[in-house]
Amino acid sequence: MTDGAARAWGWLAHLRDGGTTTWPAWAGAAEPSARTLPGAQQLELLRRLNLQLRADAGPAARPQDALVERVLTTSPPGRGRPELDLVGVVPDRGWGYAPADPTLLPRPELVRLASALLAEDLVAAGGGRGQEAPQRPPARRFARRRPAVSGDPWRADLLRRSLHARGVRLGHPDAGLVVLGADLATMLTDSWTALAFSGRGRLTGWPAWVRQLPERDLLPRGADPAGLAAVRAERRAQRPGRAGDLGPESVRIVLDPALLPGLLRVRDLPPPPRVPADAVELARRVSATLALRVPRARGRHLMRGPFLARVDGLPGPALGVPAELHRWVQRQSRRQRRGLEDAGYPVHGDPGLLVADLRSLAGRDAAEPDEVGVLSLALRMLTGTERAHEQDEPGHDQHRHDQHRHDQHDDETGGTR
Amino acid sequence: MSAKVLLHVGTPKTGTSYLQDVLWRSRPALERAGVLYPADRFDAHFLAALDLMDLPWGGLETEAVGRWEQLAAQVRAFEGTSIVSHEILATATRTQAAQALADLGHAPGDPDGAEVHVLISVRDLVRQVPAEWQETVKHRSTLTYEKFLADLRDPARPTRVSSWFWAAQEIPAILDRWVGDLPPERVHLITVPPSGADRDLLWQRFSSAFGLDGIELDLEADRANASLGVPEAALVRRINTAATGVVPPADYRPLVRELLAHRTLSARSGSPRLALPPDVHPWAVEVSEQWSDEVRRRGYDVVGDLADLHPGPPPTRWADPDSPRESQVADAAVDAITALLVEGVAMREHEARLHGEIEHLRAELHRAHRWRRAKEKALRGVRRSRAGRGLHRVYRRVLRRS
Repeated sequence: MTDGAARAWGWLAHLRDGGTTTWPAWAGAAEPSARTLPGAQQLELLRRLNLQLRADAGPAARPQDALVERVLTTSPPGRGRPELDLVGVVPDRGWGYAPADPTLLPRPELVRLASALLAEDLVAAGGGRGQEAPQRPPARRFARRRPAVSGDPWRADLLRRSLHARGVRLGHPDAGLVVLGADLATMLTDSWTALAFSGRGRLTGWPAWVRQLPERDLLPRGADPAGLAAVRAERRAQRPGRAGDLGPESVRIVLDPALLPGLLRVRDLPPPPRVPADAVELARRVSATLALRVPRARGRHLMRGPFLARVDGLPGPALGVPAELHRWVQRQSRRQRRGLEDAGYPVHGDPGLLVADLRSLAGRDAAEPDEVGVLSLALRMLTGTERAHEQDEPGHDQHRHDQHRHDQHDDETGGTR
Repeated sequence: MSAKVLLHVGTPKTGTSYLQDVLWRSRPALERAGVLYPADRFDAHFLAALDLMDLPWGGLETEAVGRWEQLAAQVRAFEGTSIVSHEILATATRTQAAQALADLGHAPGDPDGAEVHVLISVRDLVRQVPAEWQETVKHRSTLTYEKFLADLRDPARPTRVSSWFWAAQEIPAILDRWVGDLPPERVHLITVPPSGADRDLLWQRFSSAFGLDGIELDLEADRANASLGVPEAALVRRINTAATGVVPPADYRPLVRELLAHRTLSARSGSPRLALPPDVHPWAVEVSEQWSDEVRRRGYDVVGDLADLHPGPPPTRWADPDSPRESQVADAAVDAITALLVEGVAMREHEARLHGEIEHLRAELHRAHRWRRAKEKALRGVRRSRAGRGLHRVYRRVLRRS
């Protein structure tokens, strides 16, 4: 065994013991403890886990052995760089990837690996691979006639899920349709959030996704209540026996959520979840891995059930539309308001709620996802300490800022403790 | 537990589809000879490989969930020789490869463990590089040949395409990941003969390496290699540039890859062939020599000749797919449009038939719906009075008893 290899096995033993020393700063040696040495990604992720847990749970804290083993034996999923050798262990052979200094690995590489572990956790939390996604309650002959709900895909689906969980069935064929709307910025972020939590594979990141909308001059269907209402009304009118008995009045647009319980004939409705931007981005990464493990419907259920429950209410700014698109959002939302008034659908709530003006957009506590925050959240979710700082919530922005600086400091100093 | 497992892990573009097609068609004959090719559909091993490696593949991955476990369980339960073969296994990471070997029964030191052999079919880099670019183009890529070659030669392997290429083609690295603690005599390299060699030679090598000699196999599988010429590849790349945003992957596969690339443009003859540019050729020769030296040093079993990995001389005339002759591209485009028109006509006929069926079903549904509404209206009327509700209760009771 070469000196470099002995040093690498020594570092692995150090990390297994909860150590946080970086690879360049490490000097010890040990005998091999497995058939092959894990890759640089796995080793660095373990170091970061140790670091995060110390910050969250005290200097004596260390990850559970089972988690350590999983980190060391999981491959980064999907296409991308394979497990990399540590620099200084393997000589440059003229083929394969160049050995890597793990402290210089890009954060998305570590999030890729962490997302595979989180996806495994989710599948286990949801009862394993074979479990079926829950179905909506069965139809009962004399049940109340409640309308179908559509529109803003994030709110509409969560509302359906919560009512189905109570045994309430929506979508009676004679009860029409309720289309949920909000200001355009909210509907855009909700549309992408719904995609991120859908358990599907490839989804472009938020910055690229939202910036292509003005370039292509389009709005996602879930962010266009009048357009969606027209499509759904037409589809309903085409059903057998429906021609002529469903006009625009059977489709109602709801802009004020307080009016929803009355329209749906239920006593109350849960408030929408509050998911920070970093958690939405992490959901996108975990969804991509989950899509490789379970069928789409099951993945969607796991993302909107157990995963959402873990990130709902975490501190951090919500997902926001980038500042350079605010003017476009304002223009589009005014156009939407005019279109809605012309379409003649009954509107519940002030149509002015559709309009997102520049001042309100600028004043929102919203941001784009941040790689430091995404990795930090992934690490916390792996160790189960994502709620460790909830007491800081009144000043969560400051907390996030401090955390960001803390991580940057670690990166700069190599995080040696 | 399988006594012996032959695990074929690549590489792409080395005749693997033909081998897999023969194995798939010949399952009964193989089983009679005590050989298992565990597959319930022709792409079963592909799906299993996607599952093992957590690979997304244009939506197919959703059909792959749990497939590797199924395949490995079938292999472990069989007592003869099992064959597992798919070329994308070449891209497995060290961890995935170790997991796969263990799942198939490899257990060093355990007398009950299976005797696992790793087989890899290999071809010289000068033919593999243009073949892989062509394959990339047939998977919706808009990458120019020049950029593709530049990415391949960048030591950082910065793009998804370059990292995939080397993961699937870099022979010593693939062997590093797959061989692990297997002794060299259980590692077999099957070399693809050079251009112009006897057509049956590659099959003879496969047959010998997999121990298939003497088994009555169905060799009538389609072995035509669907390869594009320079103007055809340039045309498909231009179609990708124009159509990627508007044609979803699920439609691209049958319309562009199958109909246009495989069934129409690959059938054209007389076009210049894709090749390495003369200035890149020496680089490919150098890399190939380094690889064959390394493989020779390791002492693996070679079925064929390592000299097959040594590329031939550079082409005397080379056509650039980034700047093809426009008249040749136009000719290819006319053939493509014709094929699409023929397909369009067939689809219109099919659509007309379906419309007829839909109208018929809609009329029947409409009648059924009117009847249901009439019944519901009558029921509501009856249930307005106490006597009516009583009568309805009696009616339901009678219904339940009958």
